[in-house]
Amino acid sequence: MADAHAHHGPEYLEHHFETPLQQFDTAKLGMWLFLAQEILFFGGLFVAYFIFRAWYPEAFSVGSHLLDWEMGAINTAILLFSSFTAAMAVRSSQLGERQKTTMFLAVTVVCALGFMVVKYFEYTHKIHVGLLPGSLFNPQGEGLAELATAVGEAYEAGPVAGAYPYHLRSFFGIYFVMTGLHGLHVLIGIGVIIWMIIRNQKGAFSKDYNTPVDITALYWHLVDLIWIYLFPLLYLID
Amino acid sequence: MADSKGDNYHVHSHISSIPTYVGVFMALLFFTGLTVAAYNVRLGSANLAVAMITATIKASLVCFYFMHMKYEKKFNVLFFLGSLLFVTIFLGYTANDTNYRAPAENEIYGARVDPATGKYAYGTPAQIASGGRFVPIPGWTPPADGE
Repeated sequence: MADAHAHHGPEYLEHHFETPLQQFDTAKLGMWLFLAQEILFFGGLFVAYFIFRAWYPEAFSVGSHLLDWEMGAINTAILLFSSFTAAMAVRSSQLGERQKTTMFLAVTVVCALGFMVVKYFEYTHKIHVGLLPGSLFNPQGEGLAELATAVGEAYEAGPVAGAYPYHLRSFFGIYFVMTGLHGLHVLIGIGVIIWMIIRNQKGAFSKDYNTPVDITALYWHLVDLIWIYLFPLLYLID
Repeated sequence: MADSKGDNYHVHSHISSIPTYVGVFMALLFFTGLTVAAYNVRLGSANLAVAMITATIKASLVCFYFMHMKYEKKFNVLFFLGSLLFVTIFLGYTANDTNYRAPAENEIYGARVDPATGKYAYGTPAQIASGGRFVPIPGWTPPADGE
């Protein structure tokens, strides 16, 4: 296969594709299929959420009041902004603006890291007060007062004062697994975007070839989409 | 996108304008604010519906504009929307099925009623009032002013 690059096409055209358009369409289809799979992947957890919520509404109501909706809202704003910068990065790449592409991708990474920092504070507090899934559920310290407050907010006193829903442990199971899996996707996204920054800085992308940036952004938007649903479902139950 | 310029070789993607992106972002922030504001209004069971509708509006904005689904090949969109259809079927059938199941065995805090007596197995006022689903907060005493 001497001179394999000659006359096949541009540098970025892989040998098993005939035209750049075919390569692009294939990559796009592949990413949309992957996103469809991600929907089904998280879909299983969303179904579990809705079943548990139907069975134990009091646990979900109190559990939601135990979460800090302001931190959830900040995280929502951070991710929405990161989606905006990811879209802007794709646009810059489509226009061949290398430095701007790097800048927008870098801001996206910073936002993602900010999201994980907020998550870190949320998780460490919950772990510290013992609000954990299943058999690990063991509220202690200021967690007990938080429990009482949350029950009070959800049920406005009455006969359940001094008690908490037993199935809070299921709520926290759902909370940690769903946000944990989402957080894992954020971390993976951070890695992939950094890889795109490195490739971009090495000049791999141009207005003729920016597919990896394009499909990376598609993945990132999906991560945002999932959080758009997680936020009201976990943090904003009355 | 693929053939809009009439050639089968080069990639021609739709490039959105900056005002479009900024506008969509502002709309997303607006709907987020709306969701949070609606949270503070007690609408009973409509709260979930309102939250899901605003979440879906936000999701649609992200899909159509940030993900360019508005300009995407219909074939790709079909796969994505198809997965949503299947999750809906999954949720619908599962929820419907669990509604028709018998109550759980007389597990300690899971039974809605004790099948033998028709009452709750554990009798603190909180538990009776809540159907056995609330349990005492361990070692917690109410504040001195009587709550």
